[in-house]
Amino acid sequence: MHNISYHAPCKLSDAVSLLLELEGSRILAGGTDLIAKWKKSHFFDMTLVDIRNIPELSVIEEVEEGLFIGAGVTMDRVSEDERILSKFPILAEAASKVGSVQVRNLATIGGNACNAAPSADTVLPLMVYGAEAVIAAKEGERRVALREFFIGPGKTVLKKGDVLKGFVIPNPPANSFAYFVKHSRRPGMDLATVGVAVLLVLESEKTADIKVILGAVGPTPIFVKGLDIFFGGKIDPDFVTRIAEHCANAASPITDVRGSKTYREAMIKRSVALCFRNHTR
Amino acid sequence: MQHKELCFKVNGREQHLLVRTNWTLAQVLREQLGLLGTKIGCGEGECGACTVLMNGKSVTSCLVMAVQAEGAEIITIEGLAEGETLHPVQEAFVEAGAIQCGYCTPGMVISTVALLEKHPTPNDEQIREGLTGNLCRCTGYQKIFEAVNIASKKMAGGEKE
Repeated sequence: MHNISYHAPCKLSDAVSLLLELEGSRILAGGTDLIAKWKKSHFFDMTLVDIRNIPELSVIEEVEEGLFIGAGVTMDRVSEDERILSKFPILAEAASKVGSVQVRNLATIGGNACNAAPSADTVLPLMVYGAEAVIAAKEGERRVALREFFIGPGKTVLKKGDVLKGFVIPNPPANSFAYFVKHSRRPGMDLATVGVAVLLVLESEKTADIKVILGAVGPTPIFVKGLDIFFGGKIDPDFVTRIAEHCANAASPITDVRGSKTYREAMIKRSVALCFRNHTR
Repeated sequence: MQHKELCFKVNGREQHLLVRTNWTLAQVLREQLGLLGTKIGCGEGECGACTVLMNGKSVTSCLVMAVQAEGAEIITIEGLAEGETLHPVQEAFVEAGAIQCGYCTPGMVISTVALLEKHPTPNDEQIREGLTGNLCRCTGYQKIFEAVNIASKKMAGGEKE
């Protein structure tokens, strides 16, 4: 108990090797989830590979398809970066609603995904924008759509020796609009009771494409399927009620300290409706 | 028990220490450097009593392992005053009576310094937002918000002189 062995490699390849060599090793990024968990779980022994010295993990850069955001980029940077604010505004918005100022100064966008909490705020916009996770491994790099990244609470497709390098987010289509709602018990320092991200593409006032991601209402963030029945529609009150109902049916919320199953179902409907009403406002 | 050498700057002074790898920054500041102004409240990053500036950004030092501070510049509550002269934010907290038991005060003051760096004349919403991560169980926050406004005026005045 209480033992920590600490490594802070400067190269991504060294991080991968260390993770493969050292039994039970894990990645330390911002530490806001891991260190808190370590303290709450009686200071279990840890072998840590700190990734903060690896330069390519903390870059934000424009790439051919859109934007690359390194896994080690902190939430405060995500919420303030001009490129993210102009192209992916709800990602900046979600990052600005994580924890507190102090948490956002430490917590990373990669850590938010790898921790794989169903309530992870930044995961919803990343998924709705169609982001891919770029994963470094001994065999080389691979990409996984973020929609296929999560397996269960705290579980992802990452294997031993994998390092999440960052996300590539494709540029959103023309005439698209994005909305985000974090419904929590209080505005700051709380996890989402229900989270919703919506991406809406319009063609001459009618819906051409709709994507909805729900957070904190299932074992993983939920990509709502079957929304094509709403394509070609006009966003009127009846449309909003029907799509909110459809989304609530796609979720499988549980009862916990943040809200009951019934409350969450009601709040999914309310939050989804809010996204579409914000558009028509 | 594993140890590691740590080189960092605390309140402007270079420090070379041998630290335990399982100690947090808050523990090293308090136990090894004797900087007892930094308080440990919840120990889980919720209450903000342990807030310090790390490379100019406010962080909860109970969630930072000491070894992560390698090469960093840390400012604690002890590093704000210049000799006997208090920092304008400290002065403002005294003037407003924004201190009751005092346990949250060092963290509140550090968060206020960070807030005013970003928003020199914050509105009420920005003050609430900037102090989200600092809990106070005595004051009801009103005096603290007043102190932030007083500090903002003091610092704006200071720049004109």
